[in-house]
Amino acid sequence: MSHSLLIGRSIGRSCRHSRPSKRAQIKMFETIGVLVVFMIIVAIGLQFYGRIQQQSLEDMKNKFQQFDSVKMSLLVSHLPELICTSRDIVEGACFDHDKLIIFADHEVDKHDLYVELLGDSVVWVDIVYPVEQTFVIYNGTVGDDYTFTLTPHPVNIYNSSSRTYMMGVLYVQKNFATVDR
Amino acid sequence: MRVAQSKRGQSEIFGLMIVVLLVSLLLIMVLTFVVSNRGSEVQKTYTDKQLAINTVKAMISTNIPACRNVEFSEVIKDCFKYRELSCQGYADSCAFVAQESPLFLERTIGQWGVDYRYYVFLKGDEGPYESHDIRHSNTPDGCARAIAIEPGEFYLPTGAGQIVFIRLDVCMYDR
Repeated sequence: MSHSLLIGRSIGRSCRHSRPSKRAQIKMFETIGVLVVFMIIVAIGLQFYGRIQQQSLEDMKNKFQQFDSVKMSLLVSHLPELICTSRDIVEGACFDHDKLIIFADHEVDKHDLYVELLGDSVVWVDIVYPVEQTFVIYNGTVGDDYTFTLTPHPVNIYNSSSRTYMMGVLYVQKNFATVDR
Repeated sequence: MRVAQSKRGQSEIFGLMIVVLLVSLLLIMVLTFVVSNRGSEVQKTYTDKQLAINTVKAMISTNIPACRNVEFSEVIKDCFKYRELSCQGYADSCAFVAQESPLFLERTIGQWGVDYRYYVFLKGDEGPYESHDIRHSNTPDGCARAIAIEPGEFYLPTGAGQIVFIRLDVCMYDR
């Protein structure tokens, strides 16, 4: 066997060995590529899922805030300190004019007594017919950074001295602090 | 050779199917999210449902100083009965109802940006409107574009065997 023949054989062997190695490398790159794309898809999916979760949490928060607002409105519209009574029988959706005057006059003095009940809300009654008049029942505004929901509730205002009913609106503004705690 | 190619083709089709399936799933998720993302409308539902009925109730119970301090419901009944009641500054009770009803509504629901339409007529007269029927709306199309209507209805017997029908419709554009 000559020397040149030996070299030729060894080259042939190395070629046979290098071909599968390159194919494996390409396959490996393919797999890595697929994995990278898969990871990107998973990352996008996770981001999307996170956004959905964030949105659903926001919705839930909003829902509870609205429940709070409705609850507050119902609570105020049934306050014994304000509602009309006729021979101890409660009249629905009606406020006594005299009680409103007294309550509004002492709003600041009574504020502390109602903090637990009404919290960070603002409650006022507007008489819209036949005269226009406003009574602030409670003012619990705290700070400047807040969002609010306003619940209007048409009511009658009873004037016991003239025994007449006026038309009014009870406004309950429930405030929610926007500052992160 | 052909068998190998066919196998590779099969696996590629399989891969494509998986990709299509994944994309479809993603699209379904996005669509579900977009459709269901209408927000919570607890407070709006509560106020809208109660609004029409509470407004009409408060309105008809109000005493009117210009019409000898009778309730607004009495003024409406008089308009559809004998027109005997005199209202200061108005030709008769019908003129008062026609001119003052919009004022009640504009100072309440109109002020809150709620679209509405309001009718007062004799029950059974729903067809062509009589001259004393009262219609008012703060929208030019009278709730034509609304997807739903929350009605507040009241019936007032006039005592002359007739019933006056009062209806306030709150127009709702989304839910």
